[in-house]
Amino acid sequence: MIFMHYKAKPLSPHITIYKPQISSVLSITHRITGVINFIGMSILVWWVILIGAYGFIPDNTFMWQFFQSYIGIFCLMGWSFSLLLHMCTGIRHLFWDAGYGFGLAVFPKTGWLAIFCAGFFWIILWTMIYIVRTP
Amino acid sequence: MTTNTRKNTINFRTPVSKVKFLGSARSGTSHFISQRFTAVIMLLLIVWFIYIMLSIAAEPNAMIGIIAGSVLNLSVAILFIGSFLYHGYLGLQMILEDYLHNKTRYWISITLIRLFCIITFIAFIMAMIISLSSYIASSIIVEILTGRIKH
Repeated sequence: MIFMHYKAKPLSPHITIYKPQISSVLSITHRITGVINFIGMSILVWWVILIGAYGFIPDNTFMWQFFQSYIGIFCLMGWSFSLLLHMCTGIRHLFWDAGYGFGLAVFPKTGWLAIFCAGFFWIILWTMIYIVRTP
Repeated sequence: MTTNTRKNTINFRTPVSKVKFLGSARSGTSHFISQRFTAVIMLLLIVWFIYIMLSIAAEPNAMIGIIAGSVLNLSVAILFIGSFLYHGYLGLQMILEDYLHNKTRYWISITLIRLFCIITFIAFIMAMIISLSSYIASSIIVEILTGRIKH
């Protein structure tokens, strides 16, 4: 192969040599959660589309039975935390775009604040779902 | 571009950047602005979204009625899903641009994602229209059968 030589060239060390920090971890987490949110929301939207177009009863669909199983609840919990974390780190990004929050001291603080806010909202959300779902 | 008619409209680009066409690709500032714009829209609608999700969790069989029952809810749902799809498209495009260095693969993937987003958006609107019209038709049939409307 012609490209073997090209691929075997040594690269300068980059991501792997650094200790994971709150800034780098949140940066890649923002992207990963974005992809997870896109996939999950697409599944939900297509579920609604199929129910609306073909007149299925939501209770009888596979999705709803899946959501009631332990794996489904786990997936929903993970997806909702991913949504909330993406939202909180996204608010951080919006503040950066406005020009705030670049100080060396304030930078990790806002990162931890975003994580804690996401967890706080997540607990409130699942408490509300528990209240709604218990008859 | 800079005519007097556009003078008073909101524009986030500086005049110098317009003249010089700054940036690595000479375009993309509009993507940056759209991404922030859709993010703010979804941020403002998050309370509405959680309310809808909780309503569906409480009564799943009334899902279509919850989403498409009122014109306001359906409009907000279309706005939310449209901004979600556009925001997701721009985010995935950014990720692909950063991590996918093969141009052919990049263009195939981005075209498929774009097609998926457009089809999802149209399918959502069409599904809501179909379900609403079948609901209206069935309620008219019920009214005819119960004798409230004479045909």
